[in-house]
Amino acid sequence: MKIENLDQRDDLLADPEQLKEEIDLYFENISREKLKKDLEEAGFVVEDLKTFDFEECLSDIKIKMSNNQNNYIITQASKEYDDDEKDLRDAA
Amino acid sequence: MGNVIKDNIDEYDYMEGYHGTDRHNLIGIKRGNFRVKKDDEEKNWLGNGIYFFISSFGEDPVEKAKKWAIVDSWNKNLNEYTYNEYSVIKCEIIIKENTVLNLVKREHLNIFNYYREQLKERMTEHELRTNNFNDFKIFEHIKKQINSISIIKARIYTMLTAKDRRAKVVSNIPNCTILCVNDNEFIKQKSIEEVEYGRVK
Repeated sequence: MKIENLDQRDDLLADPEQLKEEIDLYFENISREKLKKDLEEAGFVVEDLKTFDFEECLSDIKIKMSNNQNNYIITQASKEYDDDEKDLRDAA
Repeated sequence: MGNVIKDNIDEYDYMEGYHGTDRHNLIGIKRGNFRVKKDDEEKNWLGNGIYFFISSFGEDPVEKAKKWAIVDSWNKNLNEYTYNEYSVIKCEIIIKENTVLNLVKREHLNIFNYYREQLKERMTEHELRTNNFNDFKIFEHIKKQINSISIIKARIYTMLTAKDRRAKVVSNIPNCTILCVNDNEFIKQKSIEEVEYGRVK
């Protein structure tokens, strides 16, 4: 039989109570290894915060910020040089 | 994914769904082989599966499927059309009892949010983190763990024209209703028919 409005066919929809039970059962006491494995199987790129090196990450961020700062200074200096050159040309 | 299509049943509940695609795929699909391709770009909104536009909120699913097929023919990386002719294919999607996660219903929306919260909590508890905690991945996870879910219904926004894509429209306000079907088992092979075709440009 053709279904015109699926929203009105509760018999075809998964039972929310049953779904909740299934979810609770899955997550109840799930081990770290299983959770990590299941996440990866679903396509997640998983980072392990237990072995995550915050110092190294912080160092990377500092280098990036420093590079950005240097780039900003170079850009500004270059712009000021161009402006000065234009002023001199205008004055001449 | 399985290619077994249940044609030996006479009485079944079904919804009509419309799939827009490269016309070259028509023969394979009529043989009962919708390919469930893995989507690396994660533009498939509800995880990997076979997608159909359905009639809802007065929308015309044939028009949506046509527009989708046309806009999807353009490959921005290759800077060219990957096919010249589109096809809109109509199918009967077999809906069995207790198999649909309907995100248009509040109870099921609550279930999805509950699942996401649980997943997040357990990840925090076990000191795990991911930089791609998005809906696509959560749907992939949910479908692998909750076996009873075979079909997901949702209202989503998707870019249906080249202008949308050029403007890089981002929206949370839906413009279509879709079904994501896990595999061919839920599609009645004899019902598969082309309802419209044409050139993409």
